[in-house]
Amino acid sequence: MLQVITVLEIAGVYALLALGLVMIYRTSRILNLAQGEMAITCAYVAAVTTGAGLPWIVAIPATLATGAIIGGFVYFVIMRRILSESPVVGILTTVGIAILLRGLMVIIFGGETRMVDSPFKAVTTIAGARVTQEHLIVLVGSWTCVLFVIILNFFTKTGLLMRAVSDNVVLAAQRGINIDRIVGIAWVLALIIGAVAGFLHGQRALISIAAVFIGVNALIAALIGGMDSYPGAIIGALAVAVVEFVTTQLVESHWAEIALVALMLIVLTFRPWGLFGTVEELERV
Amino acid sequence: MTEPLLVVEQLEVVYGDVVRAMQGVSIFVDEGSIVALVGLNGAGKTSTLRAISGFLPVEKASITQGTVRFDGRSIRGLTPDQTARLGIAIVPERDKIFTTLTIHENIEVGWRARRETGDSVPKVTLSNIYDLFPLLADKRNRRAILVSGGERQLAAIAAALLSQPRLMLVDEVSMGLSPLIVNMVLSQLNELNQELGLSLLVVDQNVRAALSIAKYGYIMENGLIVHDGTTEELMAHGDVQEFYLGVSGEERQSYRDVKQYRRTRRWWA
Amino acid sequence: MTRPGKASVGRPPTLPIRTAHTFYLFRGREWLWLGFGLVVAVFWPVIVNQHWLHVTNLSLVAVMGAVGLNLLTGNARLVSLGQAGFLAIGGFSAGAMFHHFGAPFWVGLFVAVALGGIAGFVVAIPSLRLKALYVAITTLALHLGVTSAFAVYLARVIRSEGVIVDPPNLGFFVLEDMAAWYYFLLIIAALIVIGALNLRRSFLGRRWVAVGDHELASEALGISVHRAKLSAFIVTSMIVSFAGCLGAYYEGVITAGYYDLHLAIAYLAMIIVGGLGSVLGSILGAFVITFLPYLLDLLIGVIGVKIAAGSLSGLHSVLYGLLIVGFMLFEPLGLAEVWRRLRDYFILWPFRYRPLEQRRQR
Repeated sequence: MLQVITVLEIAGVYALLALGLVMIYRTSRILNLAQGEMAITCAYVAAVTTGAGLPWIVAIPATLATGAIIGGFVYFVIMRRILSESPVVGILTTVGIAILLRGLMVIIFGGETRMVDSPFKAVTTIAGARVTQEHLIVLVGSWTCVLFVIILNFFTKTGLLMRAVSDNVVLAAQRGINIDRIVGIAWVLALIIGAVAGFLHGQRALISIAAVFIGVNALIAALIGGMDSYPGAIIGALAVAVVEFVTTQLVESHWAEIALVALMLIVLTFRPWGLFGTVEELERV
Repeated sequence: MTEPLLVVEQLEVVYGDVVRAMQGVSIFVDEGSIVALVGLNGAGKTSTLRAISGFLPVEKASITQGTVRFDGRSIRGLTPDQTARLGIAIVPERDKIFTTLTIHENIEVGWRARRETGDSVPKVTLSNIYDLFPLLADKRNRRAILVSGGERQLAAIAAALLSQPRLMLVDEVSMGLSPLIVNMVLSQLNELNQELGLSLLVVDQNVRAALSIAKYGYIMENGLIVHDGTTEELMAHGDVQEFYLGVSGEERQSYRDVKQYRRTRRWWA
Repeated sequence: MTRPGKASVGRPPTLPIRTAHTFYLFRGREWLWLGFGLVVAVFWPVIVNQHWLHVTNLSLVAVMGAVGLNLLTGNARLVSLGQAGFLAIGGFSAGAMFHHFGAPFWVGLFVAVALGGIAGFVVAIPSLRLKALYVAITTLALHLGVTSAFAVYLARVIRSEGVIVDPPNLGFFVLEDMAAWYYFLLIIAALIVIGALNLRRSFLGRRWVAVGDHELASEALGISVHRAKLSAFIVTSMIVSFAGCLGAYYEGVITAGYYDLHLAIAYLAMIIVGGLGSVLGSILGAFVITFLPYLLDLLIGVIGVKIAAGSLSGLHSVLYGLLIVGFMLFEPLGLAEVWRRLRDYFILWPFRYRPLEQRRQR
């Protein structure tokens, strides 16, 4: 039972990051390779604020605000101008941003390892397994947010407009949708989700520069599930979490990356557009 | 006399600094009227619509000369969503619908992105849209990709309508549709014009169809307006009859004799 | 400029066009610049000290790797994240050949090229089916596979952190000191640059550019896209592995940690900053990216600011990231484009536009 909870925790964090990736990809057709770095930056903010003794009432908004600011800045200052260039440029720009953020994290936060302090330290028992409340929070918090994202996308006006933009940008503009605003909203939301993921990750694991691997794993999850599919991202996250957990238990963690990449390659060989991705996506070069 | 709703004057559009798609084009659309813009392929009709709605930069084109005025103010250089917010809706030629959304969602997009009319209750809303388009009512939850061409066209018009436009630009509504469906769609547009006072600029290769609902028409060729007039005038004009309506007169021998079609001999013959 | 054959009614213009005027290597004043450059290059070890000579040597190795990558990613538009993997293959060849067989320098190079070609072939196969993004992922898989395998090799077979190789014995002398390496690397790099320039203008290279530009159209023109992609991967990975082997011998010590994703991104940065698809861009980018951290250190040293060791690497990264983002925003065509514009400006001043007839063929 404990294993199931752990896997679900990991999957929850990855699912959030993957959903953010999918949101960005669907609206702007850019692979945000800096997702991990952005999430960890927010996690650092969380760790610092809680480490300074501030309660969660302060820490959580601070973390989310960091995410929103990063997302807004990256889109409105940088991404907006390069959306017209070829996709390679966009991806490489996110790589540049990732490197930039890494450097900033080292300079500002000193590159040390921290964790997000939690006022919830009690241990509860669920179905015969002893679980600390921290882990429960990660589990419940992450999947609740996942639910929010799904509801947002499929049942709200903004979600509808985002889906329209993701389907056909030109037609969306012809219908009067303000593309700039929708894509900007997508970026900000995706980063807020990433901030939540970072915050939760900091609950259960150490935050350091190396922690950005969660971004890589989330990318693998999104690719496996289909880069333009929300349900796919969730399924992919679950798959990645399972594989990572199993390999870490059986062999050493070093092999987890290899196993994940192998999994990704296998899936992509047979279904290059991911398990749930739209087939047409591949035709765009 | 009040200024027409849409005024295009001496418009010149250039694609990629190289191809002049339109030169000296002038079109006027009075409020509440239906105007047809017809011509063969490559005449520049779609370019005109793009110039009006602001979609030229997408195709690496730009307006190099002339003005476009809507309701008295210049809209040259505005982005597509800005023109949409002013009340210009476009029913595009291809890609009329969002294929991953349902019909209802397609229509809803138009509603959600509508312009602020300032009216307390708009005449056409999400609730009564299906009264105007009864054919779409039972298909509303079907994914748009699974729906026939005529229904897609209707859905596109419905979506455009819900954005509360004052002027609707209809691009090639007859393309890919059987004549019966075309007639149905056109009569629907006519009804909208009569009931709601919606102005229409109908662009079509099918001259007969376009002129069946329009009161005034412009004929475009190679980026120039070569003829314009009321529907009656155009239908009676000999050249229009021959080259667009498919009615040949007895005295004409070949197009080479027609003044407008005299081509210069080029060196590659 | 001669007039082309006169056209008569109904017939297109005929050749011959006087070709001597349109194809040339350098002209007039440019020979002077070439001479000046040669002098600087020859006397460089005298001009700079050991530290900067070392950096120059690193840059020369980087030039070779960057040229290879640029042919693949810049011309054939096959985004490759596997650069570090191919370099690692070069390093592995150097280390393994020396460690197990005591083989001379040449053997290591030969093995590096061979293994690199094979690896390129292996990576190319899945990429034939996939589109851009997924090609990049396949190369990433190669990177992870090769670097992990290399790490395992070092840990299990060599049982140490790294392999030490002797300075290469070229037969007539041993490459031991910095200056000797410099001239050696300079010549090799120059050969590779000239080779790449010729390659780009050859049938093979033009096919790569065509496929990179528009696959569908190339296929329609009769170019076998599959063969073009295969050859692009194979040839460029041979070049990169070669560079990796040389680099490994230059360092003298081969470790697994060196070949990480950071290295691959550094090379991508080189060709982006330099200019995708341009050999000159590869050279400029390689030098800029390699010199960057050292210049930054120099700058900090000059300013005299005390910066904690940890933050220094952070500063490197920040500058790095800013450079990439900045170039993407303001000059996606890279330094090569900046160079071209500068050169045009100086050549043409006080005019602003080059008359069409004198447009030099690039």
